[in-house]
Amino acid sequence: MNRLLQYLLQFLSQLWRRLLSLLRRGRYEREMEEEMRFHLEMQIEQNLASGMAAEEARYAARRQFGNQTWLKEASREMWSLNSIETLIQDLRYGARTLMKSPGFAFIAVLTLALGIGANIAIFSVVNGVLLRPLPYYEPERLVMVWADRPIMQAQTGLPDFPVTVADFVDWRNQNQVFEHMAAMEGWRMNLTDGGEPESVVGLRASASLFPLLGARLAVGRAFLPEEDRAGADRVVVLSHGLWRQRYGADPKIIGRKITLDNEAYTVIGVTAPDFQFPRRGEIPSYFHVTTKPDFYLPAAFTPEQMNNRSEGRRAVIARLKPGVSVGQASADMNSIARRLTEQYPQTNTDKGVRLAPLHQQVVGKARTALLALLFAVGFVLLIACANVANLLLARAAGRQKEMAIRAALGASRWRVVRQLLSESLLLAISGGAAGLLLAQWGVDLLLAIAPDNLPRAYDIRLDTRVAGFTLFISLLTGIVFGLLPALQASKINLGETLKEGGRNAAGLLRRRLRSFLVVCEVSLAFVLLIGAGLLIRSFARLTEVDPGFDPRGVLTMSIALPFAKYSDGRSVAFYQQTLERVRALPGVEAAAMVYPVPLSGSHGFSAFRIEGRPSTAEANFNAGVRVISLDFFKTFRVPLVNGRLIAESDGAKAPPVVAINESLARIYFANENPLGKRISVFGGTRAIVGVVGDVKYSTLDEEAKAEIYFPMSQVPNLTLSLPLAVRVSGDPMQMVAAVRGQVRAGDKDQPITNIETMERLMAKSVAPRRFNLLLLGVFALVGLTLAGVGLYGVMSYTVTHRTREIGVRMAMGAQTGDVLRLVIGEGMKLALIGALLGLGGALALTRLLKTLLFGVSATDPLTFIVIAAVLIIVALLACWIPGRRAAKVDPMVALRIE
Amino acid sequence: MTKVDTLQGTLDMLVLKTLSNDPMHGFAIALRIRQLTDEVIQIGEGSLYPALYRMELKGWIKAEWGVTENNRRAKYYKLTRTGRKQLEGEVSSYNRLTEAVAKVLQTA
Repeated sequence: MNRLLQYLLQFLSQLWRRLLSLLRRGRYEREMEEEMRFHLEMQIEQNLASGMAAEEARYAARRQFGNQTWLKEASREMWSLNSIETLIQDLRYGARTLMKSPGFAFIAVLTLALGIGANIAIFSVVNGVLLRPLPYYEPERLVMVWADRPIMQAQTGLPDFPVTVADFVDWRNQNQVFEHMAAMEGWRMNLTDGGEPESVVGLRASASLFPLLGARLAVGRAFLPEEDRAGADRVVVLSHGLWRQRYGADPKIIGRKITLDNEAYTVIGVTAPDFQFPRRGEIPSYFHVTTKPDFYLPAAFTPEQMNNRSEGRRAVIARLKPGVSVGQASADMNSIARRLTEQYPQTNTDKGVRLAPLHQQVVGKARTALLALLFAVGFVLLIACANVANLLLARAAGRQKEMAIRAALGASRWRVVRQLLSESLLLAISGGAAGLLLAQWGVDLLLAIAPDNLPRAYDIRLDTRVAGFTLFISLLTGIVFGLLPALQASKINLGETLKEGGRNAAGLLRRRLRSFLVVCEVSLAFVLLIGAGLLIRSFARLTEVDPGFDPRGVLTMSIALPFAKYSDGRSVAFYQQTLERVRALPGVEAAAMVYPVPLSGSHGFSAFRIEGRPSTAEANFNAGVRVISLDFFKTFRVPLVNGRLIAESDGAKAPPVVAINESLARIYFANENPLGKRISVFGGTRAIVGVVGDVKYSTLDEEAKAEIYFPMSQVPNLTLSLPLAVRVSGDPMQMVAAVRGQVRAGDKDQPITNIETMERLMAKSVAPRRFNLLLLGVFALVGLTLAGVGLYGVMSYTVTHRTREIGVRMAMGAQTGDVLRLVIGEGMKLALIGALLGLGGALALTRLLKTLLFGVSATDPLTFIVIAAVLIIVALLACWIPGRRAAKVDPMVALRIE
Repeated sequence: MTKVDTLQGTLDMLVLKTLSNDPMHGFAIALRIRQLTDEVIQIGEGSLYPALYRMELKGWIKAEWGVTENNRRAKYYKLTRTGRKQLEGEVSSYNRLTEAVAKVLQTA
């Protein structure tokens, strides 16, 4: 151990001295000169003293002294940092050489900048979304806790199933694996004290939420457990933004009372300015939990909520105890669930627990797409590298003499390779720096066009990890494209190269290498194009999907009525009056209330039973709940399939009725006529009066689910805020002000939010796919262009190189057509080999894209054929241009070229 | 006239030993070794100076510019404490080695 330490210290001190010597270089050189001179003089003196003549003395001394240059070199090596010095030397020489051919350098750096820049941009996205930890305290211990209900989830299509209040309380009391658990739901209230009434959206959450997240408040405190009870819960924590905007960051905010939904709440705390919970993607959108809550209230379950085991739909987040794994926690929670199933068979059968680490919850499906994009952009970089390598190989032909001289002067092969590699690294680093600049814009552009649901978009930026990646990828790129040409160029056969006329084996090797590189390029481009093609077809298929309604010309908006003001059916009256006023506006064809708005990603659902069918646990069916006013079907142009639509006669006092959609009829009334049958739902039985067409309420690519339509006047205690939909004959956005006016006419304080046209909603729902498609398409096009340019370059060079041969052929009778065919034939041979390789690669790789495809198989023949055709056309073009040049060769001139 | 390029370690040892009493410049070191060995060991400049620089880097000797008897500037090398320890170590291992070799040579 001591020995080791000794050696280490010695090594370090040596290193230090060598570093120092770099700085004192000049002095060291001079001192060495002087020392050598002194030694020489002493030797001469000694020779003179022993009797030699003056001249002889000097000669003898010099001879004995040997090769001074070599001596100096050997001595220098002792105290200088050889490797760094030669590296600096190489870099300087490389820079000079590159500046002598600015055209080449420019093209190379540009190609590399584009390739590396694209990689940096995509990596930034991957870094922000997949790699960076979430901004909470020890985020790896945070999990979302969902109910696992296979049957209900199949019926409702909900990927993350909410948790009932009673279950949450039992889970929290009985578990041994969580440090904290908190149940949450979104909550909307009207804030009416001091100033303009504002509709604010917040979060009702268990008091443990803030400790769970490890969040500090800027002012005041978080909730106490005592305040998390019905009756004691008139306390509120404000968001920092709301505090600043509405209360001017009043330092005396603590203890102040504010009015929410006409009741007084005491402010006890304000969150920190950078605190944000929940963030987008952490809680699914159908919970209607906003991502920037204005306020936080305690969950405050009432005894009724806790006793009714089917009551409540909460999102639950938990923090694992230190050292507990997700697997262990899952086992514990599921054993609790099983206990509950035995205890409460009526409500808790088919109920398990599913844990989702928060990071996974947020990132979800984006992972596949992002990784696919990362690979794709990596392919583009590889193609770019191949192109630059080709350029270097072409250039190497002109530098053969230089290499030969180096070898003759004693450079080892490794030394030459090193020097050439440093040139490549210089190019790569320049490309990387330029790429980093481009990536800045690239990332901004990406974020601008990114779909709203790109998870963690706010976490995407160029940080140190991205910078490190840039450096790494630049160096790697430099080695990848530089190694092959460097190895080839350093293979020097001195005899051949120093002769004139260098037609030689090295040239042949170079040509073979270039062809090989082009084949690789083409195959990579093919794979990229196939990927893009499949995505294009998926997207086309998606846009062909019939949403079940006509989205053109429909405007929607949310009218959030405060519960307190509009209880006891007054909300229905308000909506109906508003509808009448809106319908009277010029340009309005129809208007209706509808909850939820189609394609808004909502998943409202309820259990129902069919009268006359035996009631078992499985007979508890589930369907989507749609609350509508009259004219909904007219506004959205949903077709009637059977029976009649909801009419005015279906008022509050009339017999309760519902309409169902085709899917419900198909699933539950397969062999019978559903009209007239009764179902029990919402605490009453209702008759089915009509069957309407399916409408997509969540996303276009999901199957339509069973839906039940309720006339809003027949929904007891309608406390929802119903969105308003208006079909207009012109541009929907023009009508916003007019419609808002009619709403305000009923209540001047009533705000409206979420103003959107159905067409925009449809576009938004396909936005993620469009985004992936756009990016992959751009990469594929760039790849194709680069490959085409590469092929062109190689064929062009071949033509130039074989001018004499072409001249001979023409002199022997070949026509232009024959020459053209010759050139194109050679080029297409390369392209076809590349295409075949690419075909194999595509067949192997596209199955990884399966989750991104819609309506197309990963080996869709049509796509493959079309892409192959595109590739062949581009290859033909790339070969045709040099081919024409070849065909124009004048045999006389050609034959004279030496 | 044997060239002592073969065992680098031996060369180092000889130089260190030469410097164990007084500081000397490069030429003097080579001269002294030639004199002591009766011209058997002649250290060429090509071996001497790289060795001196190497040992300086390792911290076994220290260099200082001084003045000779003839008022000329020369670089004098001096043994350091580490160098002295190194010298002792090398001498003892060299002696052990030669003893061992001698034993073998005595037998056959």
